Amino acid sequence: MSRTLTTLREDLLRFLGGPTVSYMKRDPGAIVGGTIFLVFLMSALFAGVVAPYDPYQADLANSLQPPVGFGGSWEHPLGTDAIGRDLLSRLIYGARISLSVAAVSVTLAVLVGVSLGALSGYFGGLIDEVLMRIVDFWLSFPAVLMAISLMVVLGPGYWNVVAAMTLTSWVPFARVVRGEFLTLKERPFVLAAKAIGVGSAHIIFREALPNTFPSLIVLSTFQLARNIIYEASLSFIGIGVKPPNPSWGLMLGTGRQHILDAWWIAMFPGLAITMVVLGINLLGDSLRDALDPTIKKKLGVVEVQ
Amino acid sequence: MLDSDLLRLIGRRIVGLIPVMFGIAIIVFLVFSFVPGDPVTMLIGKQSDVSEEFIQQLRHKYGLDRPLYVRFFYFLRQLIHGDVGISYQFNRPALEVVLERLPATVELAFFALAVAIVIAIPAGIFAALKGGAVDRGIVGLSVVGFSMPNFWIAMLLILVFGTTLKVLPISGRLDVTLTVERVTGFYILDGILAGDWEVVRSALSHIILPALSLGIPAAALIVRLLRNNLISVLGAEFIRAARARGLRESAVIYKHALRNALIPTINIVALQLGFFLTGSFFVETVFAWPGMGRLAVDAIYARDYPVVIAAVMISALFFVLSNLLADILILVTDPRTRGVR
Amino acid sequence: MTALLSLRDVTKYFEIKRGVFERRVVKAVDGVSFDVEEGQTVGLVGESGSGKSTLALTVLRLYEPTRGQAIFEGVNLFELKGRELTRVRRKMGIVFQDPYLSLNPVKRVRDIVGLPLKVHMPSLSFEERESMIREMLEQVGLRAADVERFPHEFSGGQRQRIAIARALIVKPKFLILDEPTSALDLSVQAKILNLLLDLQREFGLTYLFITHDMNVIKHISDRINVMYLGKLVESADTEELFERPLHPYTRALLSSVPTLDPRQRGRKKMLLRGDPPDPANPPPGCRFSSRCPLADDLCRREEPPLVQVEPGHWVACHKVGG
Repeated sequence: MSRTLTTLREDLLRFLGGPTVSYMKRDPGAIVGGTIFLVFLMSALFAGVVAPYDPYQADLANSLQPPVGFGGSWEHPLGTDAIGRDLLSRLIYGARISLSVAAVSVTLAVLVGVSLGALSGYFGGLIDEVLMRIVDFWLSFPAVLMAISLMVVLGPGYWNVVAAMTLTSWVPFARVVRGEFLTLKERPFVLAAKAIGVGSAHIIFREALPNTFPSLIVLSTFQLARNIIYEASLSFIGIGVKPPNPSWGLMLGTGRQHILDAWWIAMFPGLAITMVVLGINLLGDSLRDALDPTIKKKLGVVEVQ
Repeated sequence: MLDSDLLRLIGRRIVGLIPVMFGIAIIVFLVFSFVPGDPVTMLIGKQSDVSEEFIQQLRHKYGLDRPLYVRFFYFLRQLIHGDVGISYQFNRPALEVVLERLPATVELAFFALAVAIVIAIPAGIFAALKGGAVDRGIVGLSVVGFSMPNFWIAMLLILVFGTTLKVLPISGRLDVTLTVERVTGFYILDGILAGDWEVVRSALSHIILPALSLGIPAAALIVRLLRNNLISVLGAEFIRAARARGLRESAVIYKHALRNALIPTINIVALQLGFFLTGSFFVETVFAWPGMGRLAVDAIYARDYPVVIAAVMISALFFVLSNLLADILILVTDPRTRGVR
Repeated sequence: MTALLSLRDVTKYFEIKRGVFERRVVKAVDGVSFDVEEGQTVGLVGESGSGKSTLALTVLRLYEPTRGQAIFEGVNLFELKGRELTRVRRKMGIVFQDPYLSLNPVKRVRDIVGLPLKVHMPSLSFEERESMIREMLEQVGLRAADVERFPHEFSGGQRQRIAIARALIVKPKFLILDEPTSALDLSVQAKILNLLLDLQREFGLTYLFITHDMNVIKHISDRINVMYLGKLVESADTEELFERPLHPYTRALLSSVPTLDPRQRGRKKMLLRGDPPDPANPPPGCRFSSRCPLADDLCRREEPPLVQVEPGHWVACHKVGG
């Protein structure tokens, strides 16, 4: 198993290495997106070092301070909220929640979706019939509603949001992998491996799966962006992460109540969501272009005929 | 265009919706049967002078003491009669409460769609034809557009047009001083029917900001798609053939290219309608828009689950129907898909 | 001579679902029997859709056979399971038509060519495996250093060499060549054919060579089997078949071949009308009757049996012999 994981990692790195990187280095979208994403990732990882204040520390004497340039001071560059918590610090810690919910749920969704999709596409039969019916229902049931329904039942909380996000985002992965496996399993190179006497596990993991990596990488980035927005949306209407956690969605929710007297409370978390999602979308676009075989020619990997 | 084959296909798709809706009902039932605290506890609320015996009687009355599958069939039987329970907040059938709010949501969805189309189609054509910096600018804006959560766009619009410029109202559907006789439930239409232009003007001014909030991300999506389609169509063989025949450039673009680029776009536009109907939960909340989404969010706070279930079922139905509409539009507009299935 | 592989009544039906209730059976390969003698090259010809590739994949158990037997060295391949099947796979290999599809695009040549070694000789050390891979690459006319490269870095002909190296690295006895040259340029085709002939001599290989190209088959095979819509219609030694084709379908195939032989020039041209019928819905009686210029009521009613008209020359046609 560990050997399989090692080769899988090598296969993955192969797609992310060399030509992909050199294409993205020349793509301004990827550079902008990557920079934005890195800034947010770093703030999330090193929130304790970067954030000037404790994000939970109320300071009623300094409540509703406006940001610098709008009558505020450098004490609180982005101002404070209704109970005097520093907005910048809350935003920095918020990146942690936002990115980790999205990353964990996409990872789980990939695991669930890829396993089910691979089994279903490769073996077909009953498992495929069942999976396809489930997928049909999932697709006719809008993901937002599904997430809302699940959160109503599960109640607010970090891990419940992760669960709801996972349950609403595994389907695209299952569909893509199933679709690719349906064609991959008929490909001569898979038949060749079978003729050699290779077992199903080897064919699924070592021969077929690496061929789905380009689609999976691109889909993962877009799902990551989607889940960041979903987490914020759920928290915004109060059924996501629990207060006093500095979730950007929750901050927007309180910001709405102060939209007339303290616009900055709603402005900055929304800006943060938009920026990080924009960064990821730009990276995703560039990855898609870089991994698209029709564009590969631009990378100098021209077919030698 | 509507031949009998097409009608049969559409008929088959509609029949195919029955199991889908049935499946949704199963999911909704299962999900909400795990909600902590059963309806009886909700009904009784804080009344403390209720005997345990009475509670048991109530539980028996609502069938809550029966096994899950019995309750499921009970739920289905009620559902067929359009009954998903009584709203605890309004003490009226939940479905009735939801359906009352439906016109507000539908009206908003159609305006959002109009906004999306009005922005996206000219922008998409412009980007594809101009190329260069204009194209990059429009594509860039569109990425920003669908990276913004719609409820944050809503708040930005409130800040700019509502509180700073003070040119547009920021909540509700109509000035509180105005009333209109409810005929269709669409205030703009009702205003026209009543000949009350004051109502029409007020309703229009109220709908602009919510419609923009929903429409902008959708427009961003459509712009990109239309632009990409148009660029690939413009490079296609038949376009070069049309040019070679000496057709005027505008004729090439509008008669040939645009038609072919719009076909796949129509599908996405129709799908957006489904997202508006279901995705207005957050925007309606921001604008205090008295639609189904806001009702559902309020019902979640109030733990008024029959209303939540009704809203979820209705939204899902609309979502499924707009998916169907998208498929039908593809079938009608794209001759290539004929006879394939 | 002994048969290395004997096919007896090999049959493969596919079930096609249309909608929920409607099922149709496609008789892709229907009761095919012939022998492959050790050390020979046996040709299998037919148009696309004749079931020749399906037959190959069924014999290799890449498709589950519907019925029949495939006796390889005295063992019925269709009865083998699990480890026994894996063990016998070492003695057989296949080279596919399109070398752009038959090599995994994400694997290095080392992993592609070395895969059979990992399966069948797992105790080899990395160094032993590596030297075998490099040696094999050189034997098929590639460079040892190519182990590091990916398939997309090679031309079609070079890729086919990689596929041949993969098939031969565990020294099998028997190779199925499924149109190995038809995806290649004409100049490259000859080189690959010569390579295959050289390798056959060197390793004492037995080939089942599948093609639709009568020129290629004449050049390479000792014996020829002709398939039409899942059925074997004629079987004879190469020289005999080209001299005296009996089945109207074989004659049609041969007359599509340009010839310089003056004796053959005078022969009446027979051209095939139309496309082969839908394999899911073949005509009743003789399957060739819908396109056969000689067909009469009997042909359209009764399926002709495969009969031996000369020693070693079999044909299935009501209009022949009798």
